Amino acid sequence: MKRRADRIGQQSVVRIVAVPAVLAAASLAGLVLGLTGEGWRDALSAILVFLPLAVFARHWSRRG
Amino acid sequence: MQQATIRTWFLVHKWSSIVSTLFLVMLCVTGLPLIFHDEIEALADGDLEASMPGPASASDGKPLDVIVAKALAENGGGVPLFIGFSQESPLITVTAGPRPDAAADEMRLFSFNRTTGESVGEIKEEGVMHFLLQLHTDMFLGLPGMLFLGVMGFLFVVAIASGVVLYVPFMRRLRFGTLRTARSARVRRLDYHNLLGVVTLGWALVVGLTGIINAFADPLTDSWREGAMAEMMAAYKGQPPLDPGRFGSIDTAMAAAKAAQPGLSPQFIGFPGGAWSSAHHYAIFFQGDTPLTSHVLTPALVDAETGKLTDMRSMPPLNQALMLSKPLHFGDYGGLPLKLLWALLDIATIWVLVTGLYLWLGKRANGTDARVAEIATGGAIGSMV
Repeated sequence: MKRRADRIGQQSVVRIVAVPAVLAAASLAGLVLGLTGEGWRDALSAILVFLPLAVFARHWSRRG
Repeated sequence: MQQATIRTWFLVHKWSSIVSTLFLVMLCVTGLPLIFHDEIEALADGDLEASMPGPASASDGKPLDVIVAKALAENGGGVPLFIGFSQESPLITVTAGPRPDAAADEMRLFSFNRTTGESVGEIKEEGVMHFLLQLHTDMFLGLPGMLFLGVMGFLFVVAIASGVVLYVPFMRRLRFGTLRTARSARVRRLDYHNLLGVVTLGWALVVGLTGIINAFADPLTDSWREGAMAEMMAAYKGQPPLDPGRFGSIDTAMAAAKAAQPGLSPQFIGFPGGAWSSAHHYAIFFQGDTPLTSHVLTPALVDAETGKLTDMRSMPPLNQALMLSKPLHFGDYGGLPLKLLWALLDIATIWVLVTGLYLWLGKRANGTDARVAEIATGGAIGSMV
C-alpha cells in the first residue's frame, strides 16, 4: 500500500489541535469516570484512557 | 505564528524542561513500581487481609479501647497517635509514639485482627517500596523536598503548555501522527517527542497538577487545623492540652460520632495533640457513602475526655481537592487494567522526557534561531544531518 504524504497543505489551528483535544478530553473523562464507581464505569474508564495509546500505536505501525 | 512568538515559547519550553527533566525522570521511574504497590506488597508479604475472615474493621469487631491498649503494651508505653480502619477486612492498625506530637520517625505501626483481637505484628516502614515512596515524595528531605518537587511539577505543567503551543506551528503542514523515522535521527526524535507528548497530554496534565497539590499536603493539613478546625472548637480556646492520662473511651467517642452521621464509615482517627486533630479531641474521619465521595473525608471532633460530639464539618475545598487528587496521582483506584495503562503512559512520558533531552543536547551550537526555524517548518529546515 502506498503511504500517504506526511507533508500537506497549510492547516488551520483548529484542524491541528482537533485530534489532540479529543484525546485529552477522552483521557480526562476516563480518569474521572474511574473515580465514580466500579463495574462498567471502570471498563469505560480504561477504554477512554487507552484511546490515546491506541492512536499512537496505529501511527507507529504506519511510520515512514 | 510570528517567529518572535515561537522564539518566546521555545525559550519557555526549553528552560522549564532543562530545570525539571532530571527530577521528572526520577519521578516517572520511581512512580512506575509505586502504581503496583498493592500487588507487589501482597507478593512480598502474602496477602494478609485476604486470609482474615470477618466484618470490616471500620464497621465491627472487638472494642477499640482493647485494641489500643494492646498496641501500647507492644510499644512498651507511650501514647496512641492514629487508628486506621479497613473497609474490606478485619485488619486494623494503631500508630503509637512517645508523645502526642511525635515526629514520623518516632512512630511505630501495629496491626491487629479486629474480629479476634489478635496482634498481626508490627508493620515496619522499610524495604524497597518504602524507599521508592520516600524518594518520590520528598527525596528524604522532608517538607523542603516535597515543596521542591511541587515546583518541579509546576515546571512540568509549564513545559506541557508551552509544548502544546509549539506543536501548532510545527504541525502546520504535517499530518497528525506523522512519524518520519527514515530521515535523520533528529527528525525521528522530533516526531516521537511531538506525537507521544501530544497524545499523553491529558494524562500528563492530570498527574502533574495532582502531584503539585500533593506536594502541598502538609501545609494544607496545617492550615485546616489552624483555620477550619480551630473554628469548630472555638469553645476550647485558651485551655491547656488534654493530658493523655485523661483520654476517655474511644468506643464511646465513636458511638457519639456515628449517632450524628449514621451510615458513614470511619477511615481513621487522629488522637489529641497530633497533626490531624486538636489538643482536646478524637478527630474521627468518615468517608462519604458514594464511590466518588469515599475519597473525601469529613472529620467529627469528639471531646476526648467526655466522649461528646463537639462538631462535624466538611473540610475546606482545597483540602477536599487534595484528597481527590491522591487517587488521581497514583492511579490505584480503577483496578489492574487502569494500572497497566498508567504504567504505559508513564513509560511514554519517560520517552518524551528522554527525546526532549536528546533534542536539547544535539545541535546546541546552532543556537536559538535554528531551533525556531526547525519548529516553524515542521523539521524541514534546521534538522538535516
